[in-house]
Amino acid sequence: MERLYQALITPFAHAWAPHARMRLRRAAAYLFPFLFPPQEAQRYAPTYQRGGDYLFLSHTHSARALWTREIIMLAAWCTAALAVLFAGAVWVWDFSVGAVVIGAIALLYFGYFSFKVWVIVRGRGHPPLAVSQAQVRALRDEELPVYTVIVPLLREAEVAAQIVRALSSLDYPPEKLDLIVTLEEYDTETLAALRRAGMPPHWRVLILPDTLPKSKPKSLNVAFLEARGEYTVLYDAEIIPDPDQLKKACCAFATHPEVSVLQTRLDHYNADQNALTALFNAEFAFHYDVFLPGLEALHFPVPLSGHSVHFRTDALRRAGGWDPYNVAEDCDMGIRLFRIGARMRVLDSFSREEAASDLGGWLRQRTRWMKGFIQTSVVHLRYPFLLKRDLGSWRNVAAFIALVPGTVLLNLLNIITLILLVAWFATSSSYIQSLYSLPVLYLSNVVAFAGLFFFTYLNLVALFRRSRPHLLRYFPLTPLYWLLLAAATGRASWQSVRKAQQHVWEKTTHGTHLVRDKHKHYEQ
Amino acid sequence: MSNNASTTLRYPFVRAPLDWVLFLSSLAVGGAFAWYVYVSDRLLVMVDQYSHLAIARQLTDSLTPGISQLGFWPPLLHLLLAPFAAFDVLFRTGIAAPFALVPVLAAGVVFLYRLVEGLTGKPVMGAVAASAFLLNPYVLYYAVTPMSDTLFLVLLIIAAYFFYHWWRTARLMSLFLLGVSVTLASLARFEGLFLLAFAGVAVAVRLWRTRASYGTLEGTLILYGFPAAVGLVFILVYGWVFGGTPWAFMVNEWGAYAQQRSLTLPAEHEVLASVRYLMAASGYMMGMPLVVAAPIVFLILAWVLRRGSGLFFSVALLLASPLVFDIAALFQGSAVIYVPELYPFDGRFFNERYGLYWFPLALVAVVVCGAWAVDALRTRGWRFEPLALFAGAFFSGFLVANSYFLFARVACAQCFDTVSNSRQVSPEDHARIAEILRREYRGGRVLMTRALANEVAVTSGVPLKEMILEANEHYYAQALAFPWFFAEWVVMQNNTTPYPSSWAKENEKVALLWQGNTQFRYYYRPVFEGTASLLFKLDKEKVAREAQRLGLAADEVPVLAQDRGGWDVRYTYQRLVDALARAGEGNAAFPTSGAAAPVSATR
Repeated sequence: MERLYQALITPFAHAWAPHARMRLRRAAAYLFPFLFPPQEAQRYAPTYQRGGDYLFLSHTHSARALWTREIIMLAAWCTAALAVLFAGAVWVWDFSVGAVVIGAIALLYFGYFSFKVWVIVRGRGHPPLAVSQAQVRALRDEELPVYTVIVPLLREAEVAAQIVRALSSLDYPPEKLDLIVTLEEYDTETLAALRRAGMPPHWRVLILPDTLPKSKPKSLNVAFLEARGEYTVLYDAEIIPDPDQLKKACCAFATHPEVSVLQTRLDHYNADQNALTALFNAEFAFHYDVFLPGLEALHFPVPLSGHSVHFRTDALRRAGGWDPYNVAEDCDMGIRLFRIGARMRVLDSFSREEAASDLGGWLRQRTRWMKGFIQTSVVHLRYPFLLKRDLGSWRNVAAFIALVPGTVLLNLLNIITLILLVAWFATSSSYIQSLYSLPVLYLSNVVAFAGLFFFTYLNLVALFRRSRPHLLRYFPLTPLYWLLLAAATGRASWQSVRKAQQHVWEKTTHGTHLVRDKHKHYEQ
Repeated sequence: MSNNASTTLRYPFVRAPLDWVLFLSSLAVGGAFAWYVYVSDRLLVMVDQYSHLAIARQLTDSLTPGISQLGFWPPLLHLLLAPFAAFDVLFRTGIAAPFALVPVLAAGVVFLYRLVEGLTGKPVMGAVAASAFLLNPYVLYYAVTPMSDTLFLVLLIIAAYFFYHWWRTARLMSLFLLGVSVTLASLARFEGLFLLAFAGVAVAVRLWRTRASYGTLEGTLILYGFPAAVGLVFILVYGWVFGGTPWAFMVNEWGAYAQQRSLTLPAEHEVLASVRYLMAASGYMMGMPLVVAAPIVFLILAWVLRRGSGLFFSVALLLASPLVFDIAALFQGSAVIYVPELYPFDGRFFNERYGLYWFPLALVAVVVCGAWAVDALRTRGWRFEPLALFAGAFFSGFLVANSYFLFARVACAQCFDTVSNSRQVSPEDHARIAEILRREYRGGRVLMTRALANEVAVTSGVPLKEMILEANEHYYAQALAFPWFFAEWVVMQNNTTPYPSSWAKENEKVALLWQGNTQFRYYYRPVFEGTASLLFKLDKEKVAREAQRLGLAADEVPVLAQDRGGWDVRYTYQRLVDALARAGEGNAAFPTSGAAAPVSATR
């Protein structure tokens, strides 16, 4: 916002003494720190240090110090502006403050609903990037580039055999496969299990240095320094990618030089383990088959998934690797890549992962994702004008706000509106009734019912198209699933404001489907 | 019937120039017919027509506007009419109806054409069915007056079309649109609730025939049922919220079942009698030749098509759903039909329009039979070509001529005698009361029950937000307790004559409470006393004196205040009750404390 400041100050500059101008600037920077990004924030200049916390980015682009002055002041000013707007509305329309707030929430819901519908509609007729089998077969081994596959593991002895089996079945010449497995030094059990499972000799095991933070993105950064491939992909412990996925990615990168990132379609191999996995799978089917194509068609910044994303290694290098302090490093990476101009496409290839099948595990995983969303929001909104410059337009900034902080906010608002609904049913309170003026009541109801119907139905359609019609029977539980989402978001918000828990990585336990002898899908 | 129909299976509404031609010509026919009905003074004849129009208007013009005004009738018609009924001139004349419904009719014609063309593979047959449909005088009449019959028929046809489309293409979008059509149909008439089930069965039949797995069957039924059940869920939730029970649409005091208990029910608990009454009504609505021919051709088709004709019979199943519904309703006793041929016709028709609901089924059966006959003859060689042509012309000519002669007789020669000569024609008293109000009304609120508000609401010129009706809940309850403090005019049923039915006498609360009451008579003078209804006007001087005696300022008594619209239901009523209590008086019918008591007393 330096330019705005200059524009405001320059006409009067000759009248002021230099020290007065300096003082004015300091006062403005004090009050509006988010308008004055430091030099280091204005460009990505990664420092690929070995050691320490393996943070290659400047601190302004990292979630290391989360609640900085910039974001606090920005939040304060936004709150003040909203308060003025609300006060104006109260004064003009003679509504109570509560009624104005509820009205604003209803409008927010309506806006968000409209946005999602718009994205979905635009996504129709925009298929993922497809590579035919003929194209794959036409590839000659000697023409293939070196491909780096990073597999960050921690206490994954349960699924070691599955990892070895899944990644060994990748159709790619071993001499061109730069497969790096990262392990903590103390995790000897996983290493032993991998060896027992017949880990191929060309896999490299990288023992992570014993430094903080102990997070997946840090291990990715450690491995990234060792990457030799032209392209890089990461696979989590439990992932089973399509065997030809690497070759498809090579073809796609070769035929689309403008594309730097390929997001594959994710699926669950234990989708029918229980109701929770079924609903989780429906959510994924909707996201990857219905929503993501729309985001891609509209050229919006996209929060990527945590694995099975293929990068041009060079793009990753320009982006500065992952933020070791961000617990949703994938989401952050998606936005950061967009900021440096890297383009994403969806690749028509599946990666199958394990859906968290117990409530505790699911809640922990979702809490982490939502906490990461909060961190990503905070990091990227520290300097809104800088964000706009990097994303290219306010339209893209709005899309980012809707997709990342908007998701968190809506989930939290779901809790509030649910409490109001339950309280009204329980008490028939006339106060709650008075909060909903007639237009707000209608708008809220229409958006609530239309949203419930529309998104549930699209989840079902996506599931059906993935040949899982037998899972549709769980659809009555969808509102309950959304409540769980709200609960996880509430938990994530609570953790985000507590310093001790801000960067805590709640690891997802893998292999529960194997324990329950549900691995027949994989076997098949 | 052709299984290799050369139709392009796309579902955007306007598919080809012929769609446009059909749509625009149907609009023109509908528009011309609306004008004809208007100049013939038949646009608003029946109580239901006034009532639908009034409800549509009350959504925006009421003491308590909004969804609460919808009541327990299927609401789609009212929602469609509402934007047009909001305009005074369209509302008072009833012309809101053709604005809302003629485009619906035109859409129905296009979809019927596409359905028949798809089933037979012959565009000519599609055009014949569409023409026969469009020429039916009752289809046209109910598309230009505020009634839900043609609206339902069109939605039934659209549902059948999307079912057909899904059968042929297995596209999920078609299944979704089938569900949406079914939901809209069930929001148009309760017959749509049977369509919901019948279409579900038809979907299951198709999957069963293709040997789909149980999972696919279940999933497909969910994908169909989820949108299709929205209408039913809306009806249940609405009843629960506004009527206290999800079954309010069936058990409310002014519902069809309650009303018809006081009538003679000749078909109750007799299946054959139910069929006979419905067929007799169909004779008037569709023309007796078609009523006779349709079952015969259906039997012929059942014999000649047998296996390999699942699509036709599944479509027929959907189209038959209202027929089955109405037979069931007649059997149960929640519906009754009076037609001249059958006891107990008393000179006036009643519910004869139920006979129209299987018209699309009859049309489709005849044209499919015609198409089959043509195909069967053509396959025998070129010598049979003239015979094939004759068969096609015979079936086509039969349908079009049937509709044409019916049109000529009913719409032109008799000018809708059946409709004008119906038990549902608005009573003369309502017209008189509306006329008096038109002449004498100078402001102030009018208290009455909704059942009497129909013609009065539409033609009296009284703003609807000045009417106190049941749907205005607290206002109605409070005005019912002390009418003279709230309403300048009162309309009530005349319970002292044999005209109102026993059921009506039990449910018209204003008359129940105040007819013959001396306190009421002290404040109100009768302006009109008919055999069915009464109109009273308040003597405001007496209320002013009473307010003075109770120590109330004029602006504390709604009827004396110069305000318009509603009063404060929380405080105004309580102040009045408190003042009466201070004076040691009350109302014999209501307790003198608590605003909530009268509300519950009226439920």
